[in-house]
Amino acid sequence: MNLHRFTDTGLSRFSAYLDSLTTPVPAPFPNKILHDPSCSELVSTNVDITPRAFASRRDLAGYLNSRFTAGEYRPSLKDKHLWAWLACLLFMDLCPKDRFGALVPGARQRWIPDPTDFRRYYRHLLMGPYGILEAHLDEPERAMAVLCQPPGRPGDVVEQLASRQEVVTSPTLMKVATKLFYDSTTGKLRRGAGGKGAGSARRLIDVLNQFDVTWDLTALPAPDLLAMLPAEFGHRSRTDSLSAG
Amino acid sequence: MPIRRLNYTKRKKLRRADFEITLINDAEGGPSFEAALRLGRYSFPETASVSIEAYHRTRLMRFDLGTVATIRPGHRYALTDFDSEDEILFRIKVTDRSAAPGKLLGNADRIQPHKPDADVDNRVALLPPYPVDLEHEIWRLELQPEPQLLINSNLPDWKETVKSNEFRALVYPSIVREVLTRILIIDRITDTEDAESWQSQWLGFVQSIPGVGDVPRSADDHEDWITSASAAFARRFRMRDRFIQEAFADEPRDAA
Repeated sequence: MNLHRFTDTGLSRFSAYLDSLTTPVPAPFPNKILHDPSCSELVSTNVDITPRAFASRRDLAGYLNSRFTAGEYRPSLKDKHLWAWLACLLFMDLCPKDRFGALVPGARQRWIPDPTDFRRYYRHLLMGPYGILEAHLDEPERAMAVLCQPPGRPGDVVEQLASRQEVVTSPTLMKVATKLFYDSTTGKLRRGAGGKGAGSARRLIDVLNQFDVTWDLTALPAPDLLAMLPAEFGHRSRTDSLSAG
Repeated sequence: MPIRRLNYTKRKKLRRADFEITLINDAEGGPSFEAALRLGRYSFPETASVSIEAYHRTRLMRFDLGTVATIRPGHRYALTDFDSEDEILFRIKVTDRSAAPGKLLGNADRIQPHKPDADVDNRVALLPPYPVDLEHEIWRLELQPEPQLLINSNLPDWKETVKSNEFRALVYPSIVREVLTRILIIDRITDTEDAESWQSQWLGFVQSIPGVGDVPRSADDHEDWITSASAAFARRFRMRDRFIQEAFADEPRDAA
C-alpha cells in the first residue's frame, strides 16, 4: 500500500479504536481509515509498505528503511500522523495478544507517537527502532542490544538504553551495550540483561552515569570503556573480541 | 531514588554566561549554528579539545572546534542531519587529549540555542513551559530529568494561558507541592548548595519565600513543611486574589 499519513480525523478514529481495546467490547479493526480520504492522505506513490510479520525490531526498521530509500523519501521523526498511520497499517502484525487471543496494545505512545515528548518518543513501535537504525546505519549490528527484540515487545533493555539520548546515539556506548547484552549466536539478549540485578542494563546506566561525570564517553574507544567496567558485567570471561573504534 | 554522582576529578560545569550558541537558518544553506565560548576563567590546558554536540532524539552531530588555544569564533557549523532547527539542544565538552584521552575537564548540557534577533537570557528557569500535544489534558508536570510544565499546544494561545492569573493560581501551588514531594519524600534530597542541581535550586527558591524557613533536618517533618511551603507560596503571590480578580471579573463580588 502506498505511504499515507492520517488526517486529524483518521488519527482520532485510530485513537478511539485503541481506547476500545481496553473495554469489554473492543471495536473491530478500522481498516477503512487507512485509505478513506477523510482519514488518510497520500504521501508518496514511490513508497510501498506491505503488512507482514517481522522477527525483530531490526527487521522491521530495516524493512522501513529499505522502502523509504527505494522511494527516495526521508520521513520526519516529528510527523506524528505519518508514524501513527504506519503503526495502524502494521497493527495486526505487531500488537501482542494475551493467552485468550485478545489484543493487548499497551501504552498509547507505542502506536501514536508524541514527537514533542522528548522523554517517550522512543517507545513508538515503528519510529523507535527506525530512529535507532538510522542513527547507526553505518554499522547496524552495534545496536542489536536494542534492536534484537520482537517488534511488539521491546522490553526493559530498550526502555533503559533507548530512553537515554546520549546512550542510544553513541556508537561507543551501543557497541559496549551490544557486547554485554546481545548473544549473536542466539540472536537474543543474554540472561540477566533485563531486570535490576548485577550486570543488567539498569546497572550499566548507573555506572555510565557516574563515568560520564569524568569521561567523554562518546570519544572513548569501545574497548577502553569495556575495560573500565566493573566485573559484574561478566565481559572479561568472554572470549569473543571487540574491535577498537 | 536517583544515585548521587560523585565528581572526583573536579570536572567543571561551564556557566551559562560563558557561552552562547546561536542558531541561524539560512533559506539556502539550511540550519546552522555559531558558538561563542569564553573559557578563560576555567584554566583548562591549552591543548584540551573542545567539541560541541547537537542533538535531537536519535539524531546527533558532533563538531570538533579544535583546542582551547585554537577555537575560532564566528565559524558556522551546518546542521545537515536535522529536519529543522526546532528543538535541537547542544552540549559542550572540554576533554583532555594528553595523558588521559577522553577525560572530561568541563561541560555543559541541554543548552537551548538562541536566535540571532533574541536577547540572550542567562536566567535559570525553574519551570519552563513547553507546548506539547496533550490531547485533552490542559497541562501536565513532568519531573524527569527536571521539572517541566507541559502545556497543551492545541490551545488557542498557550502562552497567554500559562501567563494568566487564573492558570497560575489554580496550577502553581499544586506544582510547588508536587515538586517538593518529589525532592524531599521520594528522592530524599535536602542539599540546597548545589547550584547546578535543579533540586537544590528549587529548595533554595522555596526557602526564600517569607514564612517558609529552612528544610527541616528530620524527614518526619518534611510533609508538614511542604504543606506550609505551598501555602506560603500561594500567600506570597496572592493567588486567591488574582484568581478572583480574573475569574470573576464581570460578576458582582461579595466582600472577601
